[in-house]
Amino acid sequence: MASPRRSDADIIAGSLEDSSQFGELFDRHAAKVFTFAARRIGVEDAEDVVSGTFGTAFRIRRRFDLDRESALPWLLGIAANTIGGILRSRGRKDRLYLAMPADRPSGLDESEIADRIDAERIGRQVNHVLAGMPARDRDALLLHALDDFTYSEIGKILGVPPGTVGSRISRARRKLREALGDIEAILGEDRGQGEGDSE
Amino acid sequence: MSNERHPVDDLLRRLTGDPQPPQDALRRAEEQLHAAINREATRTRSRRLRVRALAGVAIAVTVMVGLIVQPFATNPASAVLGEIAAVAAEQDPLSVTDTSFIYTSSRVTALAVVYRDELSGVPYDRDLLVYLLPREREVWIGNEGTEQIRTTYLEPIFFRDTHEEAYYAAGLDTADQIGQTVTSTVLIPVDVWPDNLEELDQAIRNQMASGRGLPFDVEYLDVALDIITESFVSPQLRASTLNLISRLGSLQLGEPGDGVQAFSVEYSERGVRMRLTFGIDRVGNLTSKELVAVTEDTAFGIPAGTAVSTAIYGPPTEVDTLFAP
Repeated sequence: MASPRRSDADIIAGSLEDSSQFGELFDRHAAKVFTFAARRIGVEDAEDVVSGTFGTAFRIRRRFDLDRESALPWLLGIAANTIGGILRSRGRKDRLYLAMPADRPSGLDESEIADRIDAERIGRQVNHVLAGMPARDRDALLLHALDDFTYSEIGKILGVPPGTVGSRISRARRKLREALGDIEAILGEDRGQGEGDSE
Repeated sequence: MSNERHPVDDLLRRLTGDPQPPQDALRRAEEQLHAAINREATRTRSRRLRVRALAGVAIAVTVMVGLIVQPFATNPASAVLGEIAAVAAEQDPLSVTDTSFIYTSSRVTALAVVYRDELSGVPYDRDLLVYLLPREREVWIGNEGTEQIRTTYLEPIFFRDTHEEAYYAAGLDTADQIGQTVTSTVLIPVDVWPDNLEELDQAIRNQMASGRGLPFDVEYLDVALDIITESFVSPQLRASTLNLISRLGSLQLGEPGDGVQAFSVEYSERGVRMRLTFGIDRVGNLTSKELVAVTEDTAFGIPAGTAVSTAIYGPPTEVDTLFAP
């Protein structure tokens, strides 16, 4: 009979006695931490974020709240700090909050190049709006939109009630909508292109 | 209150794509983790946060900072805050180890705004539902930036009966966890703020929000006060932060009282006259913040003279337990 899957909390608790157990946490969550980082800082730097995140998590694992089943929100909090540290160390003044995929296939035709330029323009505009909103609103929106966390989960990550999370997300969405205009139209065009791209 | 996806969410996701990790990238990261695991397995535990270091140097640097800041002390508020900063720099630094914490407590009442489309279909004739949400919070700050936060959410305060009816009908009291005490452990962003005055000034400017239509001084103050709010900062960083605040041209001197000096800034937001007041004690601790709508806020239905946000902070202290002192 297969043994039941251990919770993240069990792994971390076990790693306090036998540190090698912590490696199992990497196997479970490294890919998600990578995607989280790549969406914010780019694929090129995401490896450093994964490495820094798990290194820090291992060092401070005694502070993990063992009442929590999943360690992913905790790991993503560390990843966010690691990203902030990388940006600060490079002295980037114009911070990016979304990283656009840079490695598109070569051999683009003219219409694909135009689409890409348009996507980059929208991306810059989105980054500009995100930069102008309070960090608390921006963080809540990105955790929900990019990482699929529920309001309740975001509340636990940010230390605020779910209702407050909802208000923050709502405010952030409104700012983006005001700045970008008809988002459904943008998505519609993009969807059409996406369908065309997919053979 | 909905967890459903929104077109804005879809746009953000579409822009970033769904990047997947190359296998060799994860392999290299995993090797580094295993190296750290092996190192720990072979060494004895002895970790202490490096916060006591350089206390003497900090005092010397502060004297220099004081000399630099002097030319900016052109109004009484700047002069008084500069004096407090000098005292703050000479305080003994608090320390936190693997087994100790910095403890702070606060009571905050903040304005909450909910849009009509978030009211789960409850009939409501206004665009916004506005109320004050009080909460009591205790924070234990450990090393490496981890925090235990225990928050008790208290009964909201409403400006209109219709606000209150819609609030409870939409179940927002459940969403806001009214009456509940919630304990969570979070890893807070460890902003490694520089101690150096000019570098700190630049770091604050980099963090400032923009596009909210608020004056520079208010946006700057928002970030600067955050640095010393419920936080664990070195005496030097506290002093530098206060010195930078003292440079703000619109800073006004308020009433002193019970060992605390009040400072304020007045400004206009959406046509409403606002006054932000904050209290600093003799050694540079932030003791309170209050935001008052001096004139009526018709958009939000808030009467003139209403404190839309109030906060009272206890001084940070060293504790060795995760229970209330």
